[in-house]
Amino acid sequence: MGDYYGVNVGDIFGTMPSRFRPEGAAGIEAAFGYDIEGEGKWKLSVSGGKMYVEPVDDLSGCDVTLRTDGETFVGLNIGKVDGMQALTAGKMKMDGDFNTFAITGRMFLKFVPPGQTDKPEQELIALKRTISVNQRFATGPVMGKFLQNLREKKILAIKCPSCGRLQSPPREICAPCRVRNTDWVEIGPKGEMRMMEYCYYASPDPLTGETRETPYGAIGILLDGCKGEEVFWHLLRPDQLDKVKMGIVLGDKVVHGSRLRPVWAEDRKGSISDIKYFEMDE
Amino acid sequence: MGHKKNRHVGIVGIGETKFSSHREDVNQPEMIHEAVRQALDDAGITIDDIDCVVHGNMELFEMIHQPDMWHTIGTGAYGKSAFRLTTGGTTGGTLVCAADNLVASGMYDVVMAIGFEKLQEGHTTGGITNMADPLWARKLQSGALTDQAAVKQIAEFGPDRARRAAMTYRIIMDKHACKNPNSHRAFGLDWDQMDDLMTTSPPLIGDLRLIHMCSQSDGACVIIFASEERAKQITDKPVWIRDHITVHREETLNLSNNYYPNATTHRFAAEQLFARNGIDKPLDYFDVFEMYDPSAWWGVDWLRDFFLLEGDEHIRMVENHDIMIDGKMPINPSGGVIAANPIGATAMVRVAEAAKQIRGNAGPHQIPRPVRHGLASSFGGTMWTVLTMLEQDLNW
Amino acid sequence: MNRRVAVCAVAQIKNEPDIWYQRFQGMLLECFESIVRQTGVTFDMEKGIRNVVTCSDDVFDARTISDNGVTDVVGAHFRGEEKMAQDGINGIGYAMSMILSGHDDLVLLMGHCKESQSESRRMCTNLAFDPFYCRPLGLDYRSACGLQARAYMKKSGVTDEHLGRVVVRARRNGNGNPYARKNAPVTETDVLDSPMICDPIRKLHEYPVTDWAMGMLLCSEERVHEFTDKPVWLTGFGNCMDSYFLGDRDLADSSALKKAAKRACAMAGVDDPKTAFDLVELNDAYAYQLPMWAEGVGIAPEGDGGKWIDADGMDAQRVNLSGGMLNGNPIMLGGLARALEAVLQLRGEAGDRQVNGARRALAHGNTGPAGQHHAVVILER
Repeated sequence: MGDYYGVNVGDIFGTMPSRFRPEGAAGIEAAFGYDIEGEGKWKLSVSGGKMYVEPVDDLSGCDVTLRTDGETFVGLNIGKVDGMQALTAGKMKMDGDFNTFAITGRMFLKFVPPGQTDKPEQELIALKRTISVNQRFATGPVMGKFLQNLREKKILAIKCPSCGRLQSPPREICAPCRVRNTDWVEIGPKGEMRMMEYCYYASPDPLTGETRETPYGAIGILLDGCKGEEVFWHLLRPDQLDKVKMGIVLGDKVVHGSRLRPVWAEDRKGSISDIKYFEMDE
Repeated sequence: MGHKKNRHVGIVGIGETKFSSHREDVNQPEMIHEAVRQALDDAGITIDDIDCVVHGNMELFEMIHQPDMWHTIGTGAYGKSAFRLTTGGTTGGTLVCAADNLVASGMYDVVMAIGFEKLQEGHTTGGITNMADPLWARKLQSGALTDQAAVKQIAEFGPDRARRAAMTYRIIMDKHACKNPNSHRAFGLDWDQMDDLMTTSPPLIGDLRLIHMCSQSDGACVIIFASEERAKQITDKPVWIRDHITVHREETLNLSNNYYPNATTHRFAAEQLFARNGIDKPLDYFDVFEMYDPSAWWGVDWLRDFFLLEGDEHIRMVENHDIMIDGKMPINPSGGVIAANPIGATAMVRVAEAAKQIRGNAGPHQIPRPVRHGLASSFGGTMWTVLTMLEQDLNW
Repeated sequence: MNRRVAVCAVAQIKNEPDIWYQRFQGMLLECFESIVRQTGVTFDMEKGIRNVVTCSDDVFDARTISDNGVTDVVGAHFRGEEKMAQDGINGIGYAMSMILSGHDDLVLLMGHCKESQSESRRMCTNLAFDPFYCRPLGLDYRSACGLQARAYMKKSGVTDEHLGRVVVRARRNGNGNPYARKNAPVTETDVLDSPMICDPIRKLHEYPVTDWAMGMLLCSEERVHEFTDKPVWLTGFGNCMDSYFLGDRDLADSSALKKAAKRACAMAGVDDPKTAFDLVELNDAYAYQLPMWAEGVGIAPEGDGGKWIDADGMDAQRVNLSGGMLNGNPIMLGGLARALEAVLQLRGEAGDRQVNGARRALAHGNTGPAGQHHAVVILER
């Protein structure tokens, strides 16, 4: 086994038991694989707040596997290599969700190479704070009417008196015409899928900190009654991500996407979640 | 019609911190101060020569309310006139426009513009998601990530060609970044990695992969602007601001599937700016373009908009490597936004880098030909654009 | 400079404690429509508005890039838009520079703020302080002003009784202003009895939570006649930043304001502020600030704020006939409210508050803790 930065790859695994932080593993039931090119394969099993790591030949039972070379691996562990950079540059690859693998960061104390003093030159202090100020967001009459109608399972669009453009959710003004929107039209509830953002990565909701389960689909639907760019943005039923077809307009060529219909929530409050998601209309 | 400027404005000093993911060794005002010092030294003047400070960033990242107050201890704004303008991702560009307006107006002779961000102090994608309407889009938006640019280009040019073009662009940007000592990220990517990266880089949304996306960086950028008279006293290489245009759009994001020619603010900005300055062929006119490219997919796509091209002319520019530092139309010799993105500073860095190219002292990433006419763009919000023209000589 | 800049039109909704029934977009749209109606201005790229300056605060709006939500209602779709992230009065100075530079002929300035939206404006202003030292102390704008009030009152002989007079007068003046926040009138006894919230600041000394939105159209001299026959000229502007740490400043001496006022007066060619203005609008978020800013701009004798109030200086110099910020304007827009009132006065549209023959006014705004940043605008008929 080779040495990188004066550190042996085996030492990193060998010291895992002594560096383990049970509190960081709370609630985790998973097997993590490490495939270190030229050095070997290791499997880390975490269950019930306990861990077990051993060299193996076969990583097929792992939930997620990290594949990299010895130098990058050691570099990651002693802080010489930035994980995101390595991943982006292709020096590190992940079989499975890289967010899952990131959890291992919480489970172990930092590896300190033997012989290195563990006092850094200057102690850098970081203050961690979560800042939260409660808000009361007004809807105003325009958005208010729209949300009220969602409660009644109706999707409304507002219409520009000048150009006839429909907007849903509605806006107080038609931006290009600079004219107050005044007329209302019911649209959908069914429509054709014109765009899908197949999201493997979810950002946390800034108000709640929650992260949506991935993968999920944020979709743009051309609801019945709408045309051109008048799409309605919402979510797709998670298990249909790979079944739907996206519509496309390219010049005068139109390819139609899957027909979708909304699935309404049982308990509706006048919010975007009154529609749970859209599903294929078959 | 191009407007008659009250008086000319020149860039006389530039400062940029090294962009990195973790500037844990400095707090915000200290980080800004590094760039301020650099800019003042670059110009060979002191803080006493500055009349006015213009400051900006995206404050909800660091969750500081009116940060220009605290940052006074690093900006040197004490006793001076001071403004703060913020427009999200375009902030850096807006600050350049503002400094230009303030000096050109005659109200101030020497203005220092400061853009910065310390993204590691907050949650970047969460912060960006916070720009969406709390009643609706906030539940749907995934920060600045979108697959729309890829979907569009794949439909128009086919999956293979489109994906290769985006990756080619990415690798070129990385090669430029490797020459720029200030880059946050410079991987040393090579052509033989192209196929591998196209399939193994973790996907974020659809065809948008991690490798395509810009970084999240900490950093500050400072540019000092002076009136023509003062500029000529301060330096023998002022870089003149010829004109600038800002084009925003409503917050509703339409379907970018409505393909070219579609109404983007980029194209509109380019059309308006070049027409009023009598420039028919921007591709021939400019010697460098520092484009705000948050992702490789957008980078390729927007070349067509900014240079007012048709069909696949822009893709051929990428395929032929025309956009390389020694190519016909160097794009982002600095490595661009994919290499470093301290959001409040990023757009200003584009102007700073274009100016350095014109001065001829950009460093290892200097374009190996005379650079007289520069173009810099900013991006932010819901597909907003700021476009700025820089000149070596007062030739208009 | 051979161009002048004028205000062609102003628009506002009523200042209210809680505009729960409208969101920002609705509030601004009313002002937008009013400006367009009054002036007939278009957004044509050659002859119309090409650039808008907005004013709002991301923390108070709880929204990153708070201008993003309102781009459409301020007419900025496919036009320029730049957000002034300080008190909007600085937007006036910035818009002036846009026109004086030759870059634009017309600039639309629009501002919005809802103090009622967040659970606590003090939690918001606490975030203006550095996270390491001042913020954990619990400093917010109110407590910073408390420190300043104590220092100033001692220096200038301003007493609790004086402050009582200031508040009573503010509410009485506000009552005569149809756009001012409607507050219950109070007596001096009410004020003196009102509980201390941050000694020496009493509850009634503090401006109440307010929501508001406004708009203003600025234009170059050559084209002003297209939009109004009552232009109000912006002849002077100045702003100035003080130091950050409260301990580094002489809190009782508004040095930044003095510099800002000097800069504005120099630009406008005003030699003696005491006699130059027919009316003065000062941004008094707290009662002690009225005499303090009066000293700072030079209309009250230095160190004699108390005596100035005793000598009826406030009425004699026609200060804050609108009710001032003390009667209720939101943070970020206080200075704009002052400037807007000055415009109405100079156009002869100030109703019962009208100063006859008003020709020149001073409007003031400030940003940051205890007036760290001040701005002054001089307007003339």
